[in-house]
Amino acid sequence: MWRRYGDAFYTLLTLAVFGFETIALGALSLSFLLGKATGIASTPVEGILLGVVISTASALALLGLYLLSYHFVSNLRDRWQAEHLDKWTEWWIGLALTGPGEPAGHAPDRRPLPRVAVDSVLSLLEAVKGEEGDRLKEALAGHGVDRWFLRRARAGHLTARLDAIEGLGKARLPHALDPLLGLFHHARPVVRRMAARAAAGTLAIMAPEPGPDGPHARFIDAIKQADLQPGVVQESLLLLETRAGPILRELLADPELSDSLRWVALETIGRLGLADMAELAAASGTHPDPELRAATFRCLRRLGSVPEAAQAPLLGAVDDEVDFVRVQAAHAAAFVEPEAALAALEPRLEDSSWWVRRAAAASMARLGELGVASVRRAAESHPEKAAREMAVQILLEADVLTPAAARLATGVA
Amino acid sequence: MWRTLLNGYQYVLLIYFSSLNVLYALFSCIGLRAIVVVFAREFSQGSLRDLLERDVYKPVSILVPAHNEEVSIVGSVQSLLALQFPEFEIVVVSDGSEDETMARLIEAFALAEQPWATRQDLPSAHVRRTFRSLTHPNLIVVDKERGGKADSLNAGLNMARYPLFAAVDADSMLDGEAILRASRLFVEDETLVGVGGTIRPLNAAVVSEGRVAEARIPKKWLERFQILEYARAFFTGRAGWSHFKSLLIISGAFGLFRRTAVLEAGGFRVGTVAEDMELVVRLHKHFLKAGKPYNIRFTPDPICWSEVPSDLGTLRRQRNRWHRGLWETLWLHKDMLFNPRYRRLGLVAVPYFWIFEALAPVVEISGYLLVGVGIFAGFLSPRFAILFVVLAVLYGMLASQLAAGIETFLSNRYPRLRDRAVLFLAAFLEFVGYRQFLAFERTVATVQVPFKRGQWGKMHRKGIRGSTQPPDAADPAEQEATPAGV
Repeated sequence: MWRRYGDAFYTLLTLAVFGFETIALGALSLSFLLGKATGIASTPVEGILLGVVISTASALALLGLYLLSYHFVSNLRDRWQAEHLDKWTEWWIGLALTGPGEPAGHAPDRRPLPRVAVDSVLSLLEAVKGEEGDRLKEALAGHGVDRWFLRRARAGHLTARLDAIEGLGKARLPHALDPLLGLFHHARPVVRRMAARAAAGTLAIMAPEPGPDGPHARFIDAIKQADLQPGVVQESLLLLETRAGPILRELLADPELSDSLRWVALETIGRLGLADMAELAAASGTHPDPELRAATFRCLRRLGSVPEAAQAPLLGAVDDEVDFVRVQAAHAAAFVEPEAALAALEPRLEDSSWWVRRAAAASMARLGELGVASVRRAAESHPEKAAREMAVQILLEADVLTPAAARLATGVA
Repeated sequence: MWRTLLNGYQYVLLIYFSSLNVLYALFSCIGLRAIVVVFAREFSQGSLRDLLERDVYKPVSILVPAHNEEVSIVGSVQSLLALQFPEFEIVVVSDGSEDETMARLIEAFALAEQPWATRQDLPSAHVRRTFRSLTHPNLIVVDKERGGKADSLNAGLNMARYPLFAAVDADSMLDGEAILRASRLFVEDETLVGVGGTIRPLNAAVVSEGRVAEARIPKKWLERFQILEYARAFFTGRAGWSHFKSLLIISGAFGLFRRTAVLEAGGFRVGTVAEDMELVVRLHKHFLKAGKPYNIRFTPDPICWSEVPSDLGTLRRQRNRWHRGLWETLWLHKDMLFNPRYRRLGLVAVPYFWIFEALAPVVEISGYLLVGVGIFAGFLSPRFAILFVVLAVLYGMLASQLAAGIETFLSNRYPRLRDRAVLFLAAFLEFVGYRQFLAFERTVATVQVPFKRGQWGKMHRKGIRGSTQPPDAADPAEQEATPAGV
């Protein structure tokens, strides 16, 4: 979406313009204010004004020249980049498939590698795993790219630092994990966020090493201590993919875990569909914090299964005093034994909250023939108008009812 | 006596001029840093893909208010249906349309009328009928009585099912990833209540399959000037205010909001011509009063393309309305002015909008008059006056170039080297009549505020074309973005 080169120089140029404008306009204003009452057009002020005009014109010319040059050069560079990216990609694929004997032509005899070669291998590394991926990583290390990234990630200018963190995230180098974890405490939120994602991506390909000093334990410590938004932690945990299970298990087992991290863990279990963790997740269904109760039921709904021990608390929560908990419990009730679920859901068709009525009707419709029949009855003869309307709506969305039949049932012309 | 007063006013003008230009330059620095340095790296294509693959998103309801949009509505909805986003619904609200808007929608999307169990979170004009598309299950159309744009958005909000909603103008076109890019911010920041994207002029762009395939410079200078205005407003001004957590405007053409936050604040205000700005100011006020943490930000990446007026009459009406809208909003929330309770908003942002936005045209016009009077009365040397005018033009050009410079970093920029030169020339030519014309119209609008409250005036649209558009076939159109300002 954005070109990432030349921006550092342009930032400097803009800063220079800003500095110049402040000084020039400050001097002009001061000379005006200090001038004689009738001397607004006096020679000293005019002299300063002339100076400001000339220097502003020069700044404008410089800026215009830079932009034209940048446009011209970047057009050429984009074309060159596109051509060379293909060549390098071919070369790296050759290397990954054939091993260390370098494939013919276009061999990277230069150190360091050109940027286009690095970009090309990093893109490949996102898709290439296993031995082939290891070969590419070895080649990167052979050219010192990993050390270069690590150096810039630790101590570069913000631009260079962010580029380096992104590079490390794509390269997924195990020895970069600790430096990335170290960046979880960086003063800039954007650095913390990018480091969290890069570290998670790296951890996702590392073999599990149990124990308090293993990489998983270090990652857990880092996310517990870092100042990261829950959404960023959630993204990071999702990036762990198949490695997420043990980490989530350990997080939920911690009685001291903060509510926000517990919430994130529950959300992640649901999104990753870790059905074997349903029981562990269900334990938070009676938590005093309604956000956590809601997250628990949302998680169970996403998993599509409610452990037997959790069914009674879940059906009880369909009556919870907090409406958004009732909504999530009603949704999850679709995965409970139909008779018991219907008994809890039917009264909720009269709930004061539109969202609860909708969740209850939608869940009832998912409870097989028994549920659909119950929604049909509600559509036809429920004493509450709001319940009838919602039942019709759900039947329409489930294609059980046609618009024409619905119009007939509700009297819409 | 008069001479002393005029001399004093000259000082005021100079301080005003100096402060404004320094602020423009400051915002350019911040905009560049916020946009190119941070966004370009953090929100790369790769990280967006990760987001999609792992279902890290919040579903979005897209609200499209439409009043007599028969020419653009089908193309606009088709473009929205093609968005790259896994879970969204489109709620088109026909606001008492008297033309063929509804008929065209029914025909194009096989709409079937059906009853709808609607919430009544917000009051709105009577909903006559609701429709669902048989070909696109995520398309809902509401046909309601005329109540205005804000009323239509409120009706749409009552229908919306998802936690986020986007308000999109019927004559706008979103980039394919626009919703994804904006909505990911809500996942990362639980306190975020609103995000505004960048609006770019659609005129002359090459459109293919509901998407802008290539940006092109229009032939008319009037449209070219607006390219610079939009660049200044979005790439520098809004980025700067957002950095200071004081963003007061999210364009009505495209903004993404947290539904519960907007409902909590009372929805869109009916009876104003700047419902977009008014909502953002009210959200600030609501959360500051309640002492709840919140965030409203601008992000440059989701890009919305909108047709800009290509004739003077439409442009004049549009700017008049924008300026009245600005005044209406500022006046409605006048209690925020210099009020420390509203922190930097009350002490910096709102005063800035009063002084450097609302009053700007009056100051500008009075400046032109003063120069004339000064030369005529002999207390201002012609040489000095000329130099000062030259300086003002140069600073204006500098502000335009700093903003247009940010656009060169976009991959979908104006592609030809000649385009860059044209924009440079446009930055000069806009001082030859264009700016003065707009300053005059905005001054007129300032006077009209008490008499034309809430009046939109007649809109003239030609609409979005659904297929490839020849580069120079720009049409006059009225778009609904907010007052541009810085």
